[in-house]
Amino acid sequence: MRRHDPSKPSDSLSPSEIRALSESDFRRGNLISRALAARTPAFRLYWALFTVVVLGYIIAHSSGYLSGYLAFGWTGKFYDFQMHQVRFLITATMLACGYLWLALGREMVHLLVCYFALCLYFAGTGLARLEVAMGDTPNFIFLSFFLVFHCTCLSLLLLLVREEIRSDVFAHQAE
Amino acid sequence: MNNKIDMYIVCELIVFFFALSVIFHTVTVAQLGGSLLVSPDAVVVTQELILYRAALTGFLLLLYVSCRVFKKSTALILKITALISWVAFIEDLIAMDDVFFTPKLITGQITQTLRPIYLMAILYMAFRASDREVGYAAS
Repeated sequence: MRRHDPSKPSDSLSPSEIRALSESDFRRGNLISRALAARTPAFRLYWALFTVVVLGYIIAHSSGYLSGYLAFGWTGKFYDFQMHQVRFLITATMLACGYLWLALGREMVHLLVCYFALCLYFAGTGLARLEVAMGDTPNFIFLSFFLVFHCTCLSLLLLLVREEIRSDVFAHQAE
Repeated sequence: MNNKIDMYIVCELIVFFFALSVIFHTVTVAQLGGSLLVSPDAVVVTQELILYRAALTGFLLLLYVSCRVFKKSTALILKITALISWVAFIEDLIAMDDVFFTPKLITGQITQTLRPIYLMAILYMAFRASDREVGYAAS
């Protein structure tokens, strides 16, 4: 067996080096995991719920299941269909931008408030369009589902704003 | 003599002029009815959406003016306004096929012509206000 030359670096790590590595940020996952770890547990929970809700909408839209129920399903007008497509694209972009912002470690309060305003705009105009499109035979089950979906998104966004502010306060206290 | 024009003030003037033309155009279309619009689809969509848009524009404008008067932060309001304006523009351009355009009315022509300038102006204002606040926070 060859003896270790002290002038050359060793192939194996010493216990103190292993301990230092395990305590560092190096092993704590990717940028998003680190950004989420710096926030409150409630923020992580609301963010996960928000992602699930938005992904649910994206999946439902991609499967073509929603088209029959939204305004296009009632009016058959092409611009209604295109409007769904545009809003679907904007929603997917919003989710991607949210994760990008989180990964970049930027302050998220303004972004979340902007999302809240946009969601409110979608809810208001969408509900008004549906009410007219459905005419005399409204589908109350779908309308209530539509309302619950938007109210859930809006509530989660408000809670996320609150938790983001709390996370910031805790981070300053920790510093 | 300092003749330098503040671009922010110029953008504010553009935004106010556009908001006024939107509100004035909405009231005119609502009063004159659907005969002015270019397609039957436009009649249906305009009567629903244009009112919401005008109400939203008016509300955000009032909010901005009140923040300016009371010397509060305007960056967030400007960001929201810019985002909704751009989304509405994309919706109109791609989905609505410019159904709101009413060539018979001068207010419609002014609104449509001013829109791209307004979109750039509101974006500039949002960035400027945001930069200014970050600058204050850093100093």
